[in-house]
Amino acid sequence: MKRNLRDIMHSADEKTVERIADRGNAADSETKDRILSKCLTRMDNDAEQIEIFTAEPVRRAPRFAGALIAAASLFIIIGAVGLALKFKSPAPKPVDVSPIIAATGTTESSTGEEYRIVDTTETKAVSIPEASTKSAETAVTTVTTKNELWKSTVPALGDHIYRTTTTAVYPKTTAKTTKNSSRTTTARTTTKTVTTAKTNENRMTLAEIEEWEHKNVPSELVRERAILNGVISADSPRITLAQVKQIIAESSNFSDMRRKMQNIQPYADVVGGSGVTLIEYWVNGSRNDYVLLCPEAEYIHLMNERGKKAEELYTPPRVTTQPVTNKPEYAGAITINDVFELSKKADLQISDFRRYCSSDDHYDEKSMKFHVYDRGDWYLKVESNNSGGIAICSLVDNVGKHSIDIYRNSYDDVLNAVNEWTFTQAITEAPLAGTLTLDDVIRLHNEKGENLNASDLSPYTNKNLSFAYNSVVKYKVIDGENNKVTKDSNVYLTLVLGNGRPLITAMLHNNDLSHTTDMINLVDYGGSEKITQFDAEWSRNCEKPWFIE
Amino acid sequence: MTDKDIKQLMKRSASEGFKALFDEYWSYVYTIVFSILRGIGSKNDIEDCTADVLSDVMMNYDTEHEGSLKAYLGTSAKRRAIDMRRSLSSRRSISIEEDESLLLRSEDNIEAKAESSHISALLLQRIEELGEPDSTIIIQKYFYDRSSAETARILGMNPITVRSRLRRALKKLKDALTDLDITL
Repeated sequence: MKRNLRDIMHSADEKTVERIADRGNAADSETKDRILSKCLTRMDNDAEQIEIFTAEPVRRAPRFAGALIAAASLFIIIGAVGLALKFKSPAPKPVDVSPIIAATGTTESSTGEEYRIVDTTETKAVSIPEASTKSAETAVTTVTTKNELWKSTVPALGDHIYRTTTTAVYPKTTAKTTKNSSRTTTARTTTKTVTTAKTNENRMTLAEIEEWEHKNVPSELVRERAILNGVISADSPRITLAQVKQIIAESSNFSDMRRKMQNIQPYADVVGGSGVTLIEYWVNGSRNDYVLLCPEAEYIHLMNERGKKAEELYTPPRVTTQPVTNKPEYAGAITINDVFELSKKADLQISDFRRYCSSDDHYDEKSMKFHVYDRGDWYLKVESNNSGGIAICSLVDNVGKHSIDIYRNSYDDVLNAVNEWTFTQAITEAPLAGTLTLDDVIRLHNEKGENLNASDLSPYTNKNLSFAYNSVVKYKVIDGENNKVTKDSNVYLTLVLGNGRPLITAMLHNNDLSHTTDMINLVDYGGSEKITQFDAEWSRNCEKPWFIE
Repeated sequence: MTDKDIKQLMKRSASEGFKALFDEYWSYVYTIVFSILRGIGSKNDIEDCTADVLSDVMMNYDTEHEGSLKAYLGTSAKRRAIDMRRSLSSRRSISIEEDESLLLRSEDNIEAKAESSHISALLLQRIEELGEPDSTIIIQKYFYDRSSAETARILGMNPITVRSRLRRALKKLKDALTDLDITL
């Protein structure tokens, strides 16, 4: 019994699927990024749910209510006694502002498969300002921190149950200062609430930091991470623009400026850059206006919210140097056939390129560039390594930005690459012959199928364009009444004319040819008969063809 | 990166651990999920399920566990994908036979199943003998049902190259499969 390749692949057993899975390349990088983003969102949401879940049992657990009330009463008594002793003492001692841990409560709750331990530490700091002798001003600071030990039981492989202990660090700190003024004479107490947060910045979670860093690769939110890890406090000072300008005015060189800026704000907001280091100080607390330092180039700029330079705060003094040599861009010229001949050589040497140099003076064993003069702006770049062998020998299509190393790739691969680039270039540079709607394209395909001819497109062709003078022509495809073209990119129908014979191809494609659909050449897709790619894409179950909105 | 290295990283730093886990295994999990949800779930469903598996393992996996992380991921991926398939099929009224074929096969089919496994393993071997990138192009086409343009994006190649290589690879494969009675 004959079996079909696609059917076998679709019904592959687990081992075969595993082998395919092991190969990698399951999807493109965009899909990978989407999955990563979804993972981060899910983990972030889980973290938020944990915070909400764990906050409630502390308030509601009745069995600890008594103990907590007793602890609170004890605290008040100790506080009152301590305060009285302070007032009675003849000379006030230096104020100790360090917090005194007064009470620690631990609650444990269990919900089926998962249980979490919330260790809540309430720290109360009692301090007395030096200046208050007659009227005592008492500042009571309450800081509540939660350290969560998140535990869950996970059924693993087989029948065994494994206990998982994951330490999730999702710090949530609430700071509140209550200022109590109590006068010894009147014993009247007034209560006033003062918020101690010095900035209105919203702190980021680890997931938000990672998402930001992922979007702005390669950059690291250094300050935000330091706050998250508890290295610095959330309200640690930032450098201001005025301070930056003052430092620049007072310093003689870049390293001095950088050192002074680090003294004020040790953790820059962002450190990133590829090749060169780029350090950002968000002088007003956000990335709307920020100071950018580049240690390698030794400049300091003020940037706006779009990442454009708003002001040059410091640039190093310029040293004008004359170029040592006046080496021409190209050592010589070469044809594409010469390139093919070179790619066939098994033992290609740097000296093989001497014959293509314009003169002996143009020959440079270390690096040479040859203009491929029968292919527009293409060039061949040759560079040698330390031992005199060929390190790079790349043919570069300067139009399509492709390149292939003719030394490391086979002649067939070089030939294929050149054919593709030529084809792509021909399509990209082809004249626009006219415009037709997507409805017209579908109708022509339904009527003519693989027998589509250039003359069928005559009604849509500009009068001043002649098929006789062009081998490739393209038409812009626009929205029809029934079918709209994709908004993501322009859609074109390109004909590669057969010069008296049938069309070589009629192809729908986008600007950069990352999407192409052949309309006339029949391909075997594994069914009983051959069909065009156009028909195959229409018949796919899961998705619409790329060119349809 | 080995499972041991990933577990070490997961223990040391949640962010680095997750990055290592994701980079190493996202493609593996995606393929397993894809093979189960193919034809039932949309592209988005497959991505959602893959993300669920990876984030769940990251949050719940016991790094002290001696067993293979990869095997754990594989089992999690299969179970979750089957759950999602059931949930989707209840909405789309998929046939019971098709659904159950993923989980249980009757004893009558054991022989057919063994033969099918043998054929698919042999087919994959012949495809792999074509070498890269041809084997990947064939797998993308016939396992993942991807167009040449999509395959080109994954492999960083030109769509035209993919098409021409596919044509040549299929020609070679056709000769290699004559003894197996497999048509293209």
